[in-house]
Amino acid sequence: MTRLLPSLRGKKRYIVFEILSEGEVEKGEFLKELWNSLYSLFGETVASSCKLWLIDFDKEDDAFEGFEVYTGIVRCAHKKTDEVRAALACIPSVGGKRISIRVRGISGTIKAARRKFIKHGAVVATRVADRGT
Amino acid sequence: MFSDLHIHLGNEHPERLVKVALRYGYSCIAVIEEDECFTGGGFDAEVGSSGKLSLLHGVEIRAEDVAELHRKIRKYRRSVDVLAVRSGDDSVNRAALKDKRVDFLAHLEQGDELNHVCMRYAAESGVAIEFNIASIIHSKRGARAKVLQRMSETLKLVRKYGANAILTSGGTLYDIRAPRELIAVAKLFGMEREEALKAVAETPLKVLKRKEEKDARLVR
Repeated sequence: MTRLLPSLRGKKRYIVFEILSEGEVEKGEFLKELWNSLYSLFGETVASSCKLWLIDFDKEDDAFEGFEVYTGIVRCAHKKTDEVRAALACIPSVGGKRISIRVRGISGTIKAARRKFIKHGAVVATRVADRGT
Repeated sequence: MFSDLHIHLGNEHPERLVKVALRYGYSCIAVIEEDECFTGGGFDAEVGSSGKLSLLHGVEIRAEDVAELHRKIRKYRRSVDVLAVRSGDDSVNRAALKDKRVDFLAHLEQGDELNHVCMRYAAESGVAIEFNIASIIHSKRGARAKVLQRMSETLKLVRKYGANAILTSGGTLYDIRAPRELIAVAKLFGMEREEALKAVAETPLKVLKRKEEKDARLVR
């Protein structure tokens, strides 16, 4: 099968998020919650146009103030970042564990997303917060 | 300068709220207690490192009628930084929105719907209308649709009469969301980006400033 030319593939954005959780969060359960959130907020048509895909989902080594910290990257269509951000924000709990999700940043490539927001996570995250929206 | 004027403590230590709020980029948060279980605050003493963040203490008043509302406002106004009134029936809402001692009307998804008369009072007195994001996060299907509908209709009136609108997370520790997430959720009920940005940054400070000015007048 021939691959689609890069110029013909849809444009994407990579959203790096972090989860503060009161307990263990499983990747599969999180993904299910994210899709549910997207469906219930926007319906199946918009959810389909978001082209959502979970790239990374890892637990960070350091806990923060008694929270377990998870970071992840989701891929989405470049014009649907607001919708995906809202869907992320509207997840109250995963597998019965209460969570709070924050988007650390959005990038155009996976490489840049990891470099900017995952490697030196906490430090970069506060800088972005200072800069505001 | 982002502010979240409606966070409940729940069973958590205030220090954790402060740490999360700082991580999420807030410079001002208000811990709101319900009037039935008002403890009188004193959080500042328990929190060690709140240098970069101003931690305010507030009360949320629930009143059945106007007399009760006035009585409770008198009771709490001097001892709190932020005074919120939970939306109830129409007469209570009107009285609260007229009253300059009130900072904002909370939980507009509950009680009677705010109409044009209420909104005109709100615009005159500067009492803010709160759009509470936790009520969207924690509701589902029909209930969520109703909340969003109520909010978008209220927003129309807020725009028309030029009342103050504020965005708050409105829940406990795990319901705190970063400013940009609040803005993204606010888009669901039709708030434009610029409007929403104002509702988490400028307007809350403006609302609080009203009180400071009033206090200054009282001292003189």
